[in-house]
Amino acid sequence: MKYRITHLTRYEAREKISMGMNQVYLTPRNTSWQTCEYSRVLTSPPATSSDRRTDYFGNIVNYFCFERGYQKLEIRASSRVAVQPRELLHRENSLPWDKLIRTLAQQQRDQYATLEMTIPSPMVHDLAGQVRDYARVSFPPERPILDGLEDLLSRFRRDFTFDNSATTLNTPILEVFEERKGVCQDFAHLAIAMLRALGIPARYVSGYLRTYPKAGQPRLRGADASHAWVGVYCGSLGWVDIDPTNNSFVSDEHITVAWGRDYSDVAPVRGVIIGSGTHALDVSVDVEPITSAA
Amino acid sequence: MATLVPADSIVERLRNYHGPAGAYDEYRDPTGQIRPHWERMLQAFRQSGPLNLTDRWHAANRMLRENGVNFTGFEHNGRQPRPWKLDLLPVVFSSVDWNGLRQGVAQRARLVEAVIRDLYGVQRVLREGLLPPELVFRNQEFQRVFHHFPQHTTPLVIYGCELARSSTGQWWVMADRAAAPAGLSFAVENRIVLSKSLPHFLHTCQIHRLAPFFVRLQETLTAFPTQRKGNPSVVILSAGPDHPYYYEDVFLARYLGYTLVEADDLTIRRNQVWIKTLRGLSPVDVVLRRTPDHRLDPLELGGHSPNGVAGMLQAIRHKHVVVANGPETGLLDSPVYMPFLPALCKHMLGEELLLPSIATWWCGQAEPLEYVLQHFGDLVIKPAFAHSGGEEIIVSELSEADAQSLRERILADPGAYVAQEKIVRSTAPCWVEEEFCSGHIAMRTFAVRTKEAYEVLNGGLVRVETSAAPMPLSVSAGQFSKDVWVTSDSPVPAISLLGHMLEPPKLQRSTSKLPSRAADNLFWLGRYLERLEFAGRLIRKITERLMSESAGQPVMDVTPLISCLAEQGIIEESFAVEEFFPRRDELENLWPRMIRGDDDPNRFEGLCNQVVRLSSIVRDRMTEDFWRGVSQIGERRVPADLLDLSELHDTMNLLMLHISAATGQITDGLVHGPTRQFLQIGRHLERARQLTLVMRKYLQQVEARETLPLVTLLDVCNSLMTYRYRYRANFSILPAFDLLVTDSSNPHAIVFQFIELNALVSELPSKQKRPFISSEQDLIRRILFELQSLLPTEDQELNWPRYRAPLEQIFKTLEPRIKEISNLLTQTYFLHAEFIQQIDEGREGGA
Repeated sequence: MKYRITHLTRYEAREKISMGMNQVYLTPRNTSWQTCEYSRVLTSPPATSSDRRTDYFGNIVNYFCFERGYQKLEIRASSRVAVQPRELLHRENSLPWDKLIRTLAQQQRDQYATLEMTIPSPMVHDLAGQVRDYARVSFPPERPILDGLEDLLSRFRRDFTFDNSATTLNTPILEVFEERKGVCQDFAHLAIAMLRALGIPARYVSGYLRTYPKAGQPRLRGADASHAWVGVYCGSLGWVDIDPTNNSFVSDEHITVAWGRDYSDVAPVRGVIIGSGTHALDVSVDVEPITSAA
Repeated sequence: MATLVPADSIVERLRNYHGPAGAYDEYRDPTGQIRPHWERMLQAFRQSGPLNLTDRWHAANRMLRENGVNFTGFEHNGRQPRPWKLDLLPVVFSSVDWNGLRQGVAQRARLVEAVIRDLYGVQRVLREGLLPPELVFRNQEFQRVFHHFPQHTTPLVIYGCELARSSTGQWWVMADRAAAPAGLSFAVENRIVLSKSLPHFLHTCQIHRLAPFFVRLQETLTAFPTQRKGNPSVVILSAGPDHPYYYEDVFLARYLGYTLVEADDLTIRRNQVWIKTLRGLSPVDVVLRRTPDHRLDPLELGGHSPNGVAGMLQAIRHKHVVVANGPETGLLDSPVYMPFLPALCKHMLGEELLLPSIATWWCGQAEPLEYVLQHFGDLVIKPAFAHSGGEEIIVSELSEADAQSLRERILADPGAYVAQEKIVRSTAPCWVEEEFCSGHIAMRTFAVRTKEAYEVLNGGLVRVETSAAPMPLSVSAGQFSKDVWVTSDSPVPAISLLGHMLEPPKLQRSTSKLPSRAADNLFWLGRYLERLEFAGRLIRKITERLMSESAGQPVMDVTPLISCLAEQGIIEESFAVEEFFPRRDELENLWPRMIRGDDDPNRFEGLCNQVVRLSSIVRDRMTEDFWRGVSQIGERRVPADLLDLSELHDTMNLLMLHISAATGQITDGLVHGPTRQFLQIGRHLERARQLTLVMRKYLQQVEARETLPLVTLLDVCNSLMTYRYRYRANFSILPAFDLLVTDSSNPHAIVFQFIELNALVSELPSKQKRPFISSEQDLIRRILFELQSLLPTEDQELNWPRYRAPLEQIFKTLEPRIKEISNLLTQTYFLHAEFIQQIDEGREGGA
């Protein structure tokens, strides 16, 4: 599948701020199943200086500095991305999850980096107790890991409800777990916490999701949103992505932008401003499937 | 009190000194022989004749206090600065002893740097299993944004090493300190003070100097390749006056000659670091970092602390700035790495680790955990990832229940804990106050990076605890400190920082790099000094009148003075209202207590504190004598239980003396330049305000014909002598007010203040070349004109009513206008700390 993605972020300050800087994760990365054919991040006003680098996790991060300040800022990220379907054959034959973590513990040296994703991170730290108990139900001894994930996803479907108003950026995952409500970011963090509690490496993936208009209605432009899901390390299968919000394994309808330990590593747009005045923010995302190469 | 201790007596005491059993004694070997490297010191004592060690101890510690050596930063939230206490006897190490240590400390600095480079680079030590990955990934200090910084932009320049010597004589490293190690300045201050207290001793004993270390530091900091030509510009980045070791930042700025800045003095433009000065932005090439790591860049390191410089990490990545020590260097400061250092050393450096760490077990591995649980009662438990020096639990001091709950906590998350051996530190003889005793020593020494290698300080900082109890790993631990003397086999050449010049500087007439913040602080220091001086004069006068008049007699002449103090909140505010004015006998009782006041910053003591605080902040720009005067102001507090008028009067007299010592240094000790300008602007503006206030009160409250109040007024305005000299004893209101308001030759006249302000403000650097005069100068000139117009032209007659009416008109608006001038100056020159705000897109919300 091929997509044209536009991610527009607008800031407006009450008074002109004297200087601003931004750090953005808006450029989709290349992976074995995904090719970013084109990507560009433009700002208005134009940045006085800008830069781009690859971060610790291999994501692309852009920097913008506005030395002369602004009152309104628009960050427009456009990209064209080709995504290959990811099919998972023979789920029942995947490595038993407990065997997987035993091999990891034996310090398979070339896999040491996956251990980073089993350790608490700034936004995923409640790994014990109820969260672990919940996860354990899906992972009895010797169960193949993909079966376990499938089971966990189906329980998520049953137990958790998407609710835009139930949480904020700072809602602790334990509260999400207790209230059973939240948005994709909350569910991604919660699933990561559950998997890490069992010792399974899990990472946070930030990106976009193809959406379908309601039957008989045209697709609404700009009505999409950024999305988040979870990558799970499955031994020889590599990283397998699951979407706890939509209760599915990820195939070619998810466009990956960046991954890290949790949201705090890959927040799409972050910045500081110098000057007072509150900031108003407006984000719109458009994910348009394109059939023929443009 | 044992006053005079004959030198042979101290020699005698040293001869009879024996350390406690069970510890290694630095002075005497196990066979009872005095170690030979102490001999020269004994010799020096023998030669020096009778010494009053008690007096010398007090003098030395007074010197430290006057130098402002303390370690809780300036008083903050009621915390008093804890003074630094120094032992008169140094601990002496032989050159052989020190050589072993020197190599070991330098090696550890190299090792720490190599491991950190690796962890933030290719991570070979993790790939090859030399360090369990958990130890890195779990450490909150492992900031992924520091990954792959370019070479040489974030070096480890100063490394600190905490040491203890066990009963076998083996040195153990108790902690590695590479984040922003503290303690260097304390070591130097100890040395300076001791060299004055025991003159010639250092020379006689052939003791290595400390200065070469700082020469190396300067060389290193200025030798970094920078992208600009000429001498690089170096700043010391401080966490500010509220930080416990702020004193040390100021010391280093003075000692090394670099500009002291806080984060918001800096800004980033085009990925380059700049300092905001009065004359605009000036580039910075090297930052000597003294702030905690996580504060460096709010853009990438998040958090809501506005203490970083947004964009700093990008400046580093672009190699536009060198940050020393780099923000990532503190990674290994936690005890959890210690068990792995021998293997790391072999692998990374191809060498055996020379200086072992204190025995440490990480509970995150099965075998060590088992050992820890078996030997639980003999160990010290610490959080694995906190920097050494924080929490430590001595298991043997816990109750059984507490020990059990600690065990459970460890078992619930073993990876979060380490255990360490308990150690009995070595001992040395000490002389503190009037006592000769034995103390256990904790030592911190330092290594500085040079072109080729790390060079170790020939000295250090020793803290002493007279009991054998474990000592926290902190500069502030222990009961007192000691100087560290390392003997040399040959006479020591004199090296000082002064003799060291990199390249002859170009001739200059001004120090252009006055940061806006410093200007702001200087301005307010000027204002508070003047406010304090005026308040002091009023209080002294009121006290004097209360003492001299017989009881029961009202002292009407001080009424304006009291309400002047009350209106400013220096004494109880209700006294500004006439109905609440106390009777004479009440006043006499209340008065000394009213001065003392409470924690209110407006009260007299609050003013003293403000002056000391502001002086300590701008100390790197003032003379030593200024500071000495000011530190006396800090010490001459009005005692809490003071009830006696004559005592209060004496205190005030002394205080006035110290204030004039300090202000004398402003007028005489400072070159004419922005530092002096801002101080003087502050002083003149405040003096104008105080004069206005007291005269306004006078006109409101006193009948024009009374003589005594007029004399009192002239006296508190420092103009009584002038008046007497001019008019003899003919006291009359018009000549008095002329002298205090319109006489442009009287430095205590209001008009004089505006003449000075006009001149000072016109010399200030203007940020834009404009043909207009600034608003503040316009306001000053208008006031000046009004004041000068009080005097009539030649053909007009002058009398009091004709003078008084327009004067009262001026007085009505003068105080608000002085405030307006202050605000305008703030807007033009001092608006440095702009508000930094973090903005975040919020959360990802997609379904």
